[in-house]
Amino acid sequence: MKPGRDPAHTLLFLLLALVLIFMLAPIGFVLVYAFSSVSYAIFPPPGYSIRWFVKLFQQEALFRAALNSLIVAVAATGVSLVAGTLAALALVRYRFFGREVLRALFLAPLIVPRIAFGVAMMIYALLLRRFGGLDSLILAHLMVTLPFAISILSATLVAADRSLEEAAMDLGAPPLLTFWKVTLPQIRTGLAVSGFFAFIISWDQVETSLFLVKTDNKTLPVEMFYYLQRQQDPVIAALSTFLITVAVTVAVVAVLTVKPRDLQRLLAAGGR
Amino acid sequence: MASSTVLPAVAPRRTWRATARRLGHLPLLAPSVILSIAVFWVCMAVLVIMSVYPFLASGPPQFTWAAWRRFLTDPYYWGVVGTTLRLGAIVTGLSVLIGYPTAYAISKIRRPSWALAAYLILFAPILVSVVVRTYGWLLLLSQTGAVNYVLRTLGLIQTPIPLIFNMTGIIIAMVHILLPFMVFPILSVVGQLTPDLKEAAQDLGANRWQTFRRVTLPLTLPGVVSGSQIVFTLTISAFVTPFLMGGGRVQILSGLIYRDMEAVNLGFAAVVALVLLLLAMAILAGSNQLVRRSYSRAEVARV
Repeated sequence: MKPGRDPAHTLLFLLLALVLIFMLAPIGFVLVYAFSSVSYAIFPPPGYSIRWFVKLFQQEALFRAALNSLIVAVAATGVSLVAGTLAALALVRYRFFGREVLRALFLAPLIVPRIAFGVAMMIYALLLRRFGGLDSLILAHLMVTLPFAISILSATLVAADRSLEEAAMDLGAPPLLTFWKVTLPQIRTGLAVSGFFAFIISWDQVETSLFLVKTDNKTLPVEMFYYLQRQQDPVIAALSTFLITVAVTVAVVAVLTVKPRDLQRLLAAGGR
Repeated sequence: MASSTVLPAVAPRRTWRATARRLGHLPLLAPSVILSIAVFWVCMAVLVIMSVYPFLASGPPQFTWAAWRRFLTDPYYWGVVGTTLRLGAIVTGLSVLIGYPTAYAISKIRRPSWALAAYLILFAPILVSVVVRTYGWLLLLSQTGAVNYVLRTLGLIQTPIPLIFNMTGIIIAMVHILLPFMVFPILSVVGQLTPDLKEAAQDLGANRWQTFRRVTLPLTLPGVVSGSQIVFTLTISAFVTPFLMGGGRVQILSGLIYRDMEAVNLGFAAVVALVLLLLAMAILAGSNQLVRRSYSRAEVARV
């Protein structure tokens, strides 16, 4: 049976095409409006210009916010990967009392609505007199990124070949060398995917950051959120054009470098 | 190490390794345990305490149920809970209706490069900030936006229809943002379907609808249920999209939290945050039950 000749299949693929258009539409329109000549949203734009890109480069607050976001995302990703790998090693390679309870405790932050956690974290930061600092932002983001790292890395470690590690140890390799030479190369994909997830989650975190930032020192998505509330001129569209370009590049590189089957399995682990 | 000492050397290394195997997990777990207790678990405790003992408010703090009583006795807040749950149900329902055939169609794509392209288009939006995607919908759906323009040009409407700053706008944008989270779990179960099951059903005389209803659907239900679980909980706790698309005219729990935080009403914000958390937990507990049942039904269908 050829799927192309089947009317039900034709209908199915037509629907798929519509869904894909639906997924791309808002992003496409942001790109169009970045080059609009007027400040208000009107379709079709009466003309095209690059003035919003010029105005974008005069927005110091957005640049400071982008730098803050970058620092926070890199720190949260780094700590999640290190702490996450260690925790995943313990959860997968050792049998100990309370292992399942511990796993549940690690994953618990995923259940908590991020805005609720944001409230809690803000009160806690006030209490510790660390309100407005990047350190409390990094810690807050870590609570969201670490569970992802632990669950993805655990899934990778389960799949890794343990007998290779034992062979290395039997041949006299100390545990650290074994980890470095045998375990680490096997979980490279898991590390890349969970690092990628952690970075994206932190970079795009609004709800958790919203109450933790001071008015003059925000993160990028929070700054964009407030900018949109003040005015809806295409400066945000111009900025988004940059961000979308980076995102598309990253997506293409990721698809080309990671094996699709690995990606699918790990995305499934991350989506939980 | 000289060869004559090999034999005695084995014993101490074994015991060292035995100890490492018994207690080696403790140092590995330490960083995550310390972080999660010192930040997450203390945070949650602080939130609970704040809801009954508003210690950062002006004046000496004292134990009070006032904030809880205010939430639980005012019908307005119950209305907000209702709107939140309604939004969750509508977005989840639409995501299933759109996501299921989408996942099914993707699994039917023969050419790998096309399948890859479909994957990319479906999942790449996750990489674009939620704020940007919501902004895109504001542009598309506004009175002078492209959707109203097309509808007017086609002569379907005379005056622009309001698609933003109401529930419609929130729903459209939320479905867009959460659709990948529905498609993915369905895709992973649809991928496991083997054609011989369907062929067997058809050989036994089942028509297309019966095959779908009796074979395909029960086998893919676990994916639908876990996708719904993710979409529902993410919808009721979302803030940015409902806030911007609602334009202050649709109030849900996350917006209530934001309003009280802006007013530095920490005690009440803590109560609303806890209500939202309890709702999310109740839904997860309930749907976990469903997941288990759908899996056992899938097993029956497989047998």
